[in-house]
Amino acid sequence: MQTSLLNLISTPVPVLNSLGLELNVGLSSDDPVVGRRPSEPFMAYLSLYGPDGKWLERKELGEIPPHRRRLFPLSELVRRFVSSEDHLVVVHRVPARLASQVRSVDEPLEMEQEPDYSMWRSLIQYSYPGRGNGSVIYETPPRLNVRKPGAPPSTTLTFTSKIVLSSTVRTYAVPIHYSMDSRYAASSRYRYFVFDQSGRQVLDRTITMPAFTVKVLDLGREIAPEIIRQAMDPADGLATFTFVAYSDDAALAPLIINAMPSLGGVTVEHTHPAQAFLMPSNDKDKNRLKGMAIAAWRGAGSDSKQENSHVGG
Amino acid sequence: MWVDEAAMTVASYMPRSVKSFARRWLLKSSHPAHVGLRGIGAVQDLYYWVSDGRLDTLLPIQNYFSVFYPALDTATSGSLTVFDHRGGVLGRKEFPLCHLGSLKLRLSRVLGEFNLPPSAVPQFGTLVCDIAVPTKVKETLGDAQPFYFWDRFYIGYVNQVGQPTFVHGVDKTFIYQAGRPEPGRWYPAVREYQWAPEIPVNIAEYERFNVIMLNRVSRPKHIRLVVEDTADHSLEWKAVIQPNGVHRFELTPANTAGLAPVELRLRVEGMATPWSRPLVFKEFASGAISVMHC
Repeated sequence: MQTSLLNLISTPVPVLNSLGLELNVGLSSDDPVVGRRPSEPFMAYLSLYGPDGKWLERKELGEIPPHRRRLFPLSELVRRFVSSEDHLVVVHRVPARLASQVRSVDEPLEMEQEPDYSMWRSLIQYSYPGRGNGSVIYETPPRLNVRKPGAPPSTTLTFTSKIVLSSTVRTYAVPIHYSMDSRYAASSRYRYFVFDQSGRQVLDRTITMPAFTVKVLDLGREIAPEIIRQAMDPADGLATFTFVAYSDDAALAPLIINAMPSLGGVTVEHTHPAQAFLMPSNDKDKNRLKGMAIAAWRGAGSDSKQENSHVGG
Repeated sequence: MWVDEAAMTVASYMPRSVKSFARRWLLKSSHPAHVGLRGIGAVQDLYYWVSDGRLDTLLPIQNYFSVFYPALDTATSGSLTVFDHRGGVLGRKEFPLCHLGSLKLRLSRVLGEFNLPPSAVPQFGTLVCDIAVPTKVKETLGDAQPFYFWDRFYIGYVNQVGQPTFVHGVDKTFIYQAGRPEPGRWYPAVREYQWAPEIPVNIAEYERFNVIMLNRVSRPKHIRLVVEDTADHSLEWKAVIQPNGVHRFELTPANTAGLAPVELRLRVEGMATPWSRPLVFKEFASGAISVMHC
């Protein structure tokens, strides 16, 4: 079978220039599940996309010897291509023995069976230089946004309780629109809601994201100041909200960034897809329930045909 | 319940091929993931908490049922059980949760509600939180049983100046059956697993770097943390973790001074369950904090 070496182990990563965060990527040559696959040398590559999703460049980052961890600083490298806007890069690991079998890692390699690199995740680390850093590990889900002819597109339903705001704490949701198919060109509409603790909807917005782009949603700016004030706990000054989002034309993976720039503190987490919360005895019920939930959300609240609509106040 | 646990214990020691056949036979009228999943309920993980005056723990509890059923009334209730670092129960708190609603609990306040004598209040431990499957959801699931939810919620930690950091659960620990307050364990047996976290640790960047391990099984567990440098020199630390307990391996520039401080790698040996991988808690000289699972 024709195997894309760059898709064996990859992670799409937002570059967050607008937030002033430096980016490092940590990569390992060991299988995290010890004993499953022997360690071997890997080559690391970086694919760069522009703020509009346009392909820019691929760079070789270097080698990861067996039984090693490497921390690759990326900010200086990527700012040569995009200096101030937010955009997408993708980190790839390719076993050196496979990379040596092709003239270019862009070429597919004929293999009897695609190797299983599940759970091989990259460490994505954002930092305020010289102060704090925050990191998260994740990988590209299998066949992300690879559309089969005639089949419906993938969908997204996601939620989180990590929306915390204060006079010094900012929270950003960062959806990533990536595909393992380099020919993918679809745009996605991403609708998101924010609720206060009482269950009152305080935000309902829709954005459109071209393929191979990221978007920074600054929730502290999008939620009305009066609502944030009302939600603040006088004991600790923190206002907490929940976030629900869906897309019915693509699978988008959001990161949530909590930052306290004055302290140099930053922390990042991914969300799980909604289906990861469901354990039906019949696996098909996962998609059925997720589809029903998205349909219900589609009809919820105000008709958000227009982008950017505040609700509540 | 004990029949389920016995069956799972036997199954866990079978070779993979035999286990697959036995699992299909054992579970033909049950859930393919676990013989104990026979009705409706939720699977919950064990989480680390800290409340030591310097750090506190935030639980931002979201009614996740509302996300799946936005058109139903998913008002429900939840419970929080707090353990000390040895796995002893410190107390239990119940709370209501409205449709589409959420709740922020701070561990320092929850511990205060338990009215424990000051000497009995530890500075860290573990907890489990369960949100009951709402009545309307149970009615809707009806014939779709068995059906379980795996609540992969986020726990937060906050420093003295109010910077929060969050991490999600990584494993399964308890099975809550709808209508029954006492959960059963997900893992019936103690096994041996190793984990090689991807994180390269530049230890000089941190004031403290804690590698936190939890025990999700019913027996004490010996565990070993190995830290290796780029010249393959290593240091190791050992601990015994009680059921529902937790151990913090604290790494600092001082106690890793024999190693090259850049791109250190971690290895955890003796995990009792396949996915009970470590949590790392980073503290910086600026006072900033961040947490992640590996």
